[in-house]
Amino acid sequence: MTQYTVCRLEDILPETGVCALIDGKQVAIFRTKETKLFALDNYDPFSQANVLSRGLIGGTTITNAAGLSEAVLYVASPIYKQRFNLVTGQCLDDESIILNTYKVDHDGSDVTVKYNLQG
Amino acid sequence: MSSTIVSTTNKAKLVVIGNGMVGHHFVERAIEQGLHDKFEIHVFAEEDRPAYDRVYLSSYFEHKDISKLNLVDLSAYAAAQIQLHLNQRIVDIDATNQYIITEAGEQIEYGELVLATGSYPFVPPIPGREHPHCHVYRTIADLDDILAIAERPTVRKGVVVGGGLLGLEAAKALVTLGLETYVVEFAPQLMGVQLDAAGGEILKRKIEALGVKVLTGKNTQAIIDNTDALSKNRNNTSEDQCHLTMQFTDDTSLDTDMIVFSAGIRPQDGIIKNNPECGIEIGARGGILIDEQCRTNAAHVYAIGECAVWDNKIFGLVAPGYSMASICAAQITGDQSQTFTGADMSTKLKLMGVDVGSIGDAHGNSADSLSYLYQNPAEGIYKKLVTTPDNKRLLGAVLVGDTEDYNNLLQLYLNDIDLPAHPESLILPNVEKPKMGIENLPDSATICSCYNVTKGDICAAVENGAYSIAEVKSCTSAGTGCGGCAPMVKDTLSYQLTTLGFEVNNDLCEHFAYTRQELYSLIRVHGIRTFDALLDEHGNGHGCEICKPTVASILASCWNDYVLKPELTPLQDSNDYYLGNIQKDGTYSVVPRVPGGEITADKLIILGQVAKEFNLYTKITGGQRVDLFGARLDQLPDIWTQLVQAGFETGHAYGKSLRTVKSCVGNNWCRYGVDDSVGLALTLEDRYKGVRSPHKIKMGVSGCTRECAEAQSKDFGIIATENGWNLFVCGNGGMTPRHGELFATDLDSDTVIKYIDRIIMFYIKTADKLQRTSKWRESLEGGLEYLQAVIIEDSLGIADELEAQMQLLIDNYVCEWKATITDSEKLKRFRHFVNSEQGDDNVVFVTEREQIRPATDTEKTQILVTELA
Ligand code: SRM
Ligand SMILES: Cc1cc2nc3c(=O)[nH]c(=O)nc-3n(C[C@H](O)[C@H](O)[C@H](O)COP(=O)(O)OP(=O)(O)OC[C@H]3O[C@@H](n4cnc5c(N)ncnc54)[C@H](O)[C@@H]3O)c2cc1C
Ligand code: SF4
Ligand code: FES
Repeated sequence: MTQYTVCRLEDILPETGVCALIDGKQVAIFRTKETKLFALDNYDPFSQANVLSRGLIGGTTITNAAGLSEAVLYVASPIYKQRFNLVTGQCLDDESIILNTYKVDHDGSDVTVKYNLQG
Repeated sequence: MSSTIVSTTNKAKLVVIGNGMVGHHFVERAIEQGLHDKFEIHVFAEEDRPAYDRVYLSSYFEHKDISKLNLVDLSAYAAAQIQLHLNQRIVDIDATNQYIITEAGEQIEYGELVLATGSYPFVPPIPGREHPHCHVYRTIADLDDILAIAERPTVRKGVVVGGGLLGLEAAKALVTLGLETYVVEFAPQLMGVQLDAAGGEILKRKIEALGVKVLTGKNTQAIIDNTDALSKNRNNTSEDQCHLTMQFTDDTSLDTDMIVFSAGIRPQDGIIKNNPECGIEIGARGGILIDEQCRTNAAHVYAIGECAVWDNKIFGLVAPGYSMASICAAQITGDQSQTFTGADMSTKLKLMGVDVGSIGDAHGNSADSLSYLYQNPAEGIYKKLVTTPDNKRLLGAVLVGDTEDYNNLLQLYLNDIDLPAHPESLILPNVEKPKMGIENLPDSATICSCYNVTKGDICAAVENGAYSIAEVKSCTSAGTGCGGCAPMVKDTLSYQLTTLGFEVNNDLCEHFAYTRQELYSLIRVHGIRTFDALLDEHGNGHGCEICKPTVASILASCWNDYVLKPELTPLQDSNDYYLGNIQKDGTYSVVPRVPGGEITADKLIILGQVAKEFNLYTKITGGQRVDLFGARLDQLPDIWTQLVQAGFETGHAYGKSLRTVKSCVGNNWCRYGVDDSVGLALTLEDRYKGVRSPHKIKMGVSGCTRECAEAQSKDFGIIATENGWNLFVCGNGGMTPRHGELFATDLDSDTVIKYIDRIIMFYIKTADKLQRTSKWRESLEGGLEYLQAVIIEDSLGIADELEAQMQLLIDNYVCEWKATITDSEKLKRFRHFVNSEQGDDNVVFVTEREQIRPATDTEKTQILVTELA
């Protein structure tokens, strides 16, 4: 695991995302109004464009694998609107698509991403 | 442990043992009933944290955040002066002298005692089961242990002993943790409690297809520890050697690195079992015996939840435990009206992605019962119905692979409803199913089994004013448990609203139980200016890609604040956020406003220069202006700086707002022209530019009836005649073309403007989200005449208000691009990476017809190869 300091917390407006270049990889980082951070691939497999950081954040309730309902946050792609679970990277509209997620954290000022080269 | 129990009052003590799901539910009910006024309430918990949601335990592996599971609001406990003693196991009870003893040796007298000790996982007495790689699956502590072992690099394989509901859930968890996973079941089939043999077989095949290996009919005899052999062989090639070997009675064996036991639960009655003198009776197979009032045989002692046995049965689900908790709390207040009379144990689950449902007598054990079967091995679907001998009533059902019929069947079963003549039609595919409409259910039908809420309860709540899902939830609790009943709760609400004569409105989305029109009124009447304020007061949850842009649009329609104010920015769709239309490759288009399509040569040259400098694809649009495509995010500000300097404004091609006012050349040049169509078009475009509306608005102005501006296909079309302007409204091109309707004739320019002001504001006020004026007009009861009455005769008395509201929007207009390029904070967002000046290397263009266009995938790889070569 390598740790990257990506930006300042205030560089990400609450309820929006930014895209970071980490080791040649495009990572979308989202900040919610509760100042929780999430990170996943910026690449949208549906439009094949690097745009997810520009999607809207939403919340909904899904039925999880255990058959239970669960509140989740997601980002909706700005191009064709597919939704991706911010915690797991799972696409809510197509079970077969799961994006990579990354460990992201902040200390009140800096935003850091932990990224494992091996994947 | 030192003494910590302090009496704070001289009230009698109400003692609760166990702060699990049911114990906690009891405390909540006790507070509701005001029991904390009568009693000093003490709660003893063996675990080191307050009650959490065990039902969602497995989600802990995903988020590892205990707070997400927490059930207890400690401030509510504190406010009711409830003393919660964590980490304090109760070791003994004396029901004769009414006291309990804590692990620390303290003795506490009680006035009333509630046992809510739950159950513990049963671990079969197999030699070797104490190995540190053997676990159970019940508490957060168990999960932490499993995690710690599973994350070790030498641990690659895991076995779950037990193929019941919880066992399969545990197996799913092991898969998630990346282990090669096995399920070992003693019985010949999976989920023997809920499914029959054939259903179990289908489930097994489906689960195996997902990569989990299932061994049924295996009785584990011993667990052998290979650690010694492992460490001895470390220097050799012991890579595949496992930590443990399970030996089965059939002389076969299975190697594994860890084991999770999920072989059933046993009621936690240890305190009583260990002290037969304590005076509380337990059942023959364990568990604390209770009656319909949740009373044990000892005075002032109750038992609730999974530790209790009622009518020889233990209920391993949370819903019956919650009922017991409510009954027990009522009982202690002296209200004996409620009784526990058992619970339905039907279940519907998604296990590792496989839908499974089981209702009532799934095994067809009832005498002379009939069974109907549908089996589709190719798709892994199995359905069975069990009915009474006369075919009239449903006794049970099994569904594997397809549970669409579950709710229907459950209602038939629970309410003893007559079955159709051919019951098999209920499970056959491609057969029109008699839908169990809410209207057919008796009032006593249970809709939410978690909180035992009936159709009658919900209907009564609606009658008393709960008109939205949110309100129904808060006053009946229906739908706030597992959530499985949510669709039926919604249907019941709609049904009752219709019965009461309300028109059933379509909620905007799950976060707002209002239509767009209602939200518009709320925002206007309460002067709401931000999304969060609206969500706090009138919505719930987080918001989403549906409500955020809709609310952003309404806020703009009401107040016309700059759309990129920090509190408004996150609501905007990508197009509004970056003030450009996003294209398929993630670049943006630039469309400067060219009012009425009239443009000077100098301006035309500027457009050409900018396009050339930034190498943009250039096209004349169908709206009489120029579109520049292929601008990267980081180029947008530079492009617009040049355009704004040259006097251009944003064309709002990205906004749900006025697009263009198309004009023909008109009477200045045209030999047939009777009026200045360009002049009026300029006035209109200048007046309404930037006005945000439910959908885009287009206008057209033609100088004579030859109609070269195609005005009759626009939202507002104006055509010059000898006697003045004719106004057409609510036309549409696009997907479903609609001819505009003649609204008024022979108007002067001021009247045209007055009417359009009023219509646009009335449209903003009353249209649904993303409804063009054409569809809106068709939705107006009373049709065109009604619209004419409202706008021309002011039949609603709102004309002045509408005009004033429009004036406010016009007065507050700013060009969004002009405001943005002068704001360095805003400009920061216009770059692809937050931490690098680089551009997106996935944006690649090729040249076609002397201009750029996005490269196709094949072209991209070719380009890459040439670059590498
Ligand atoms: C550029 C243009 C095509 C062109 O090269 O000529 C165009 C391009 C788009 N149109 Fe259009 N429409 C363009 C004129 C039209 C016209 C003709 C007109 O306005 O005279 C129509 C039919 C008239 C009408 O709207 O009634 C038209 C009917 C649509 C529709 C269907 C609307 C409907 O009610 O059925 C959509 C989809 C939508 O809005 O939901 C649409 C949506 C779009 C979008 C926004 C699709 C998208 O989301 O990416 C395109 C974005 C363009 C961009 O990135 O700048 N466009 N579009 C035209 C821009 C005009 C302008 O200067 O603003
Ligand atoms: C993984 C998993 C998934 C589940 N899924 C579902 C589901 O989908 N639907 C459903 O309805 N049910 C489900 N259940 C069952 C549900 O969790 C239980 O029915 C429910 O938790 C029972 O509540 P309870 O309070 O009776 O017992 P518990 O929640 O077990 O609480 C009992 C508490 O008492 C404490 N305690 C015990 N003895 C003492 C003592 N002597 N002194 C002090 N404290 C003591 C224990 O430590 C424990 O914290 C699931 C259970 C698990 C483990
Ligand atoms: S509508 Fe056609 S004919 Fe009439 S003035 Fe315009 S261009 Fe000329
Ligand atoms: S049935 Fe579980 S919440 Fe209603």
